[in-house]
Amino acid sequence: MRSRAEDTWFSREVEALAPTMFRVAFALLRNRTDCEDAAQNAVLKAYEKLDTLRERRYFKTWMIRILKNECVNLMKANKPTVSYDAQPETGYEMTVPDLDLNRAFDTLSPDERFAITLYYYEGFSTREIAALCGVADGTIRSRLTRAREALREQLSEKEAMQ
Amino acid sequence: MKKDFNTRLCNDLFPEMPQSFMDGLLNAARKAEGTQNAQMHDTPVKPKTARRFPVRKILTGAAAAVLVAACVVIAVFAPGIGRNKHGAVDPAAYNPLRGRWTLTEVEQNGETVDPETIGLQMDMNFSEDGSVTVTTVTGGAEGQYVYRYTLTDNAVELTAESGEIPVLPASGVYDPETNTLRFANEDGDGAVIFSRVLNKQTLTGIWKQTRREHSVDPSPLDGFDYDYLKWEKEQTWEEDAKPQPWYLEFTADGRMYYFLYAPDGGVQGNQSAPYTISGNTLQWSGWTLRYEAETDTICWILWDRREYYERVPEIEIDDPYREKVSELRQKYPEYFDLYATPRLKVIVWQMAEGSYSCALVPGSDLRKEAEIGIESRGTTIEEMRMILSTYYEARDCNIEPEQVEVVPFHNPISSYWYEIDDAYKGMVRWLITGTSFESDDPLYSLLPKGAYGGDPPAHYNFRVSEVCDIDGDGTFETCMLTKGPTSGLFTFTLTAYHNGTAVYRNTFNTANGYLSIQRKKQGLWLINYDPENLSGKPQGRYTGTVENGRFVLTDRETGETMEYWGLADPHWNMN
Repeated sequence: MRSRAEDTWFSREVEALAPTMFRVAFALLRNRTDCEDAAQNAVLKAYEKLDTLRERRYFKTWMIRILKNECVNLMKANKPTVSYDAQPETGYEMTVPDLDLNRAFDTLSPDERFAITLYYYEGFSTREIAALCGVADGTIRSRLTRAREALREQLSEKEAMQ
Repeated sequence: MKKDFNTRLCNDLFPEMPQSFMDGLLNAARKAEGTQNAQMHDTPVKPKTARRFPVRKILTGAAAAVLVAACVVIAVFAPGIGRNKHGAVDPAAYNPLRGRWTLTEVEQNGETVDPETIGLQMDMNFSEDGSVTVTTVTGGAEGQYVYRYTLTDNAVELTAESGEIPVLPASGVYDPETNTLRFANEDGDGAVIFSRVLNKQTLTGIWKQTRREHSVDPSPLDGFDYDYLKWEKEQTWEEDAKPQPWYLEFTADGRMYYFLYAPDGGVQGNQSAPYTISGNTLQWSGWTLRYEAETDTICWILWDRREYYERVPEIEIDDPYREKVSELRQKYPEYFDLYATPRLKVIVWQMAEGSYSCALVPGSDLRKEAEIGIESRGTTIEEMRMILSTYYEARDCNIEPEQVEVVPFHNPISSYWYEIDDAYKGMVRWLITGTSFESDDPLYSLLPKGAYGGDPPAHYNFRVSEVCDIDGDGTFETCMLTKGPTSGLFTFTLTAYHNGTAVYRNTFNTANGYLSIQRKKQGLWLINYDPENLSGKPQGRYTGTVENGRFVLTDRETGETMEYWGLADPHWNMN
């Protein structure tokens, strides 16, 4: 039986993690509706499996891992990824800060987007991201390098054309 | 003002989180909590004010008992609490109480109360030297209290030093299955229950069974104290057992503890043994954990030496192979790190006889083969197999050869024509993935299929094809094992292909068994397992090389070479 104190703790943690979860889900799915679906499913699953989390200080990485799995499940379900160009105006009310950067970001693989998001926005080290993804540290470093190069290249091409 | 790249990357990628996202999450959390509570409580949860816990009652009730118990316990154990019942110090003995415990439940009048809701907070810290520090945050008894303790057959006895205020009953019970400590009130109408605080580094590695080893990545020792190291895994080593969680713990006192959990969560079995760390190897009774520091991907290999040691050939560092993969990554970046879930597609075409070209796309790529073929750069079969191996080995995509779709087609840019029938499709698939090709031609029947009473158990992962540099010329060949052309005598054929063309082929005669090949730094291993005793020592282990245009298999123990079958013409049936 879960105590009220645990429920309160869980809600607070989820609330504190919401911005991170949004960025991680958005990096992978690139679609607000899917992000909400994936994040809500992740919260439901996390609560259900909370007993398996042995140490609360790992809640963040644990939740991100669950969320990533949920996002991958959604992608597997053949939901088309909608790029910025194709977003219908009515379903897409958010203002993106840098449209060119986001279009370039769209072209990266989901794994690269995931790595970039955790590294630059959530302050994870490459070692932590590697542990989270279950790959070697070097793999994450190379993903970051490739992603940065790809972004830089696309942005410079775009700016050269302008 | 124009921003630099890093500033843009760090600040401008994501839009503001919409409020609806936060609302959705909180609703989901509330929904989850509501569902759980609805399942757990038939009656509404009582308000906090309805719960009152008689802390003082327990404390005063305990006082007398502690004083009596203290006299008894001190008399019996006085010179050496922390010694065993025979009086001898046993430093290697496992002390399950060691560490921190916290008050998690309070029982009173048959009701369980969350201590937090009544403002009761109490921690216990058990040390190795037989003392325990109790920290309380309760009205009138705040502070730290140091006691001595003993543990006998799960019975915990506390004794206060002279002058200390007893804040707990003198006797408690340790329950190893639930990892709790229970102190019942003397008059029987209440109890306080402590749970262990896992003040340890928790690691959950992703394990993958490859070549009969179990690997975890990254290194669990890296950056962690050796004091408390544990793994969690939802699989046993038993062949036929259903997945069961197990748990390993390495403690600072030099012992390893192993627990096997039953499906209902209870402890089904456990064992303990001393362990040693030497260099990059952790060893304990029957088990070895080795850190492969020299491979380019950090890899831990854990195996049960009793079961597996003889079946695991030397783990060699694949320098030439890995270097080649690295080169390919530079040469064909478009074929690496593709989003591979749930499958990959290899398009294969021939530009001339014996000249295959391959392209790799995600399984979800819906373009026509011709379109892909025109736009793609073709690799050789060996190159494609190496590229594919990076997906098989990647822990996060779990692609297996069976999930690779191989599609042969005629490339419109080539005038070379060939028949694409089922046999051709099967052969190309076999060349690229080493799977799923059956033919009447015995040379093309995979060795374990349909022979010797059926396939070996899948988890033994017999390999009948491998890419390696068999002749040491710096290029890679695909080596394939097939049944030999005999029915009564056990023969097998080893063939090396280069981009679809057989370059070396020999048939050998040896003891009946399951054969498996594995890439070496140069050449390959061939291992012959006794079908009746797959877990036992192999019947033979051979190094395979090419000398003077023919395969040579040398027994690594005796140095003798394996017999060829028949005339052993090195070019027998090459075409």
